[in-house]
Amino acid sequence: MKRSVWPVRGERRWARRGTLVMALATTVTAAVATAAASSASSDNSESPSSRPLPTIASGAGVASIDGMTQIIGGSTPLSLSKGTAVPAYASLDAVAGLAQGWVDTGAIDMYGPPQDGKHGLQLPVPLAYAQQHPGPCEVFIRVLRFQSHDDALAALQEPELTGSYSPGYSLIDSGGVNGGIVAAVQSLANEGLDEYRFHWVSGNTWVEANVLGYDLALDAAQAVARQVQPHA
Amino acid sequence: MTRISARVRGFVVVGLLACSASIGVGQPADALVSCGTPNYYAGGLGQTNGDQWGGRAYIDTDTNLSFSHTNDNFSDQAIHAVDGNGGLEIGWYVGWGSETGTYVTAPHAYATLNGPQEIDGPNVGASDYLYTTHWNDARTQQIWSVKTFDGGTFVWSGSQATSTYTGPGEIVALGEVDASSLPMFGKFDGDPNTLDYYNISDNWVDWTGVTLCASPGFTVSGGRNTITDSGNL
Repeated sequence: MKRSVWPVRGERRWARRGTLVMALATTVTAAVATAAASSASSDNSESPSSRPLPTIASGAGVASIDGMTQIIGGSTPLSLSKGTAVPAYASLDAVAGLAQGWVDTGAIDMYGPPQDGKHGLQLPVPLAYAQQHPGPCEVFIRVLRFQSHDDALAALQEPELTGSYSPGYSLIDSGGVNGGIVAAVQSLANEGLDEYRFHWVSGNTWVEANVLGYDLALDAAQAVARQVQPHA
Repeated sequence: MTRISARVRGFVVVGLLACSASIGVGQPADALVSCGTPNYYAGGLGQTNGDQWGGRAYIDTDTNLSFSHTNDNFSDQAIHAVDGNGGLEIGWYVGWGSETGTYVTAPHAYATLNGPQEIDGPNVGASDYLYTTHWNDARTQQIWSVKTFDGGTFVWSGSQATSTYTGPGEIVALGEVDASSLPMFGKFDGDPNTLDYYNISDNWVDWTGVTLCASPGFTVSGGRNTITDSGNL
């Protein structure tokens, strides 16, 4: 990396973020591509659900979140599933996708940028840190744009897309944002963090916002979810 | 409030493009012949539109499985079994969890029905564990466990209804996945005509119904096999 690339002031900070973003950008692309479902056959055909989608304008996610740093930004396929099964929702006509990840800036300052499984901040954010900083510490957003409003609405009813198949998914009667729904998600993978998942549809756009944190209140999660602007 | 600058976002794009060029869809992958149904893969399989999985095993002699692909970035499956109606899968991942909708950099266990109904498990770090999964007799439940080698202490276990995802039949499989960049390691055994698995009762059992397959130039047979790949971290 040439020195002239980075700002003079705060150089180390930006350099670290550059490394972070590069590493995570590479990682997330691979992860997204890998996680995508593929045909169960062995004919090298490509599942419609695993095709990379054109990226939605970056402003369609979250422009900024107080106290957080964006670590992931890019396209996402329709399906993030592992395995080879072609999901039933593959028939939905998705035309663009966006994924974003944000983490507490203080955690990056403490542990260093997340680089891989060995160095820097590990994700999920360590519980020991989160306990000292209650409230949102991770936000992951997926935005899928469909050909039609009906497809976007149909996506809202797909258990594999919403995660409602999971025994840890508990729909909350009220508390959704933008006319959508909200659920509490419990998973061992969250390592003690609370999670709220918001879904809503706006026009032909399906939006998911996962907000995680220790001792996370619903209203704090709502405040983050409301910042997602699918049509920006 | 912190927001990455346009300059840094530029690097995101560059990174994404560079990555796409190296591992993206459309990259030629060596052909894998159709193995019919049921069709089992041991040690991970290069997916059909890329090569990001744990590894692709080819049975090339009666004593060896060779890997033409090693994992680039993502999940290693301890076992992955599919047929036209569904399947089973257990392993660990780094990346997006379908249950949580989040991205993890620390290796976590997971179990799925070959994609659907993914349950994301605990952080397994760089430990060597045994991963097993099988169907119950009625094929209505997927049962899985992750346990240590020494004494078989359970790290994680569970079950879930298979819903409409009926699999190819009861299987039990063993695999060891190392998340510390050391080799992924699985053991499969068998006579010259079958591939065997190490079952939940700690016995080697013929893998009935398995379809052995190989790419052109490779010989298919059973026998004692050890498979490895390079892990992914």
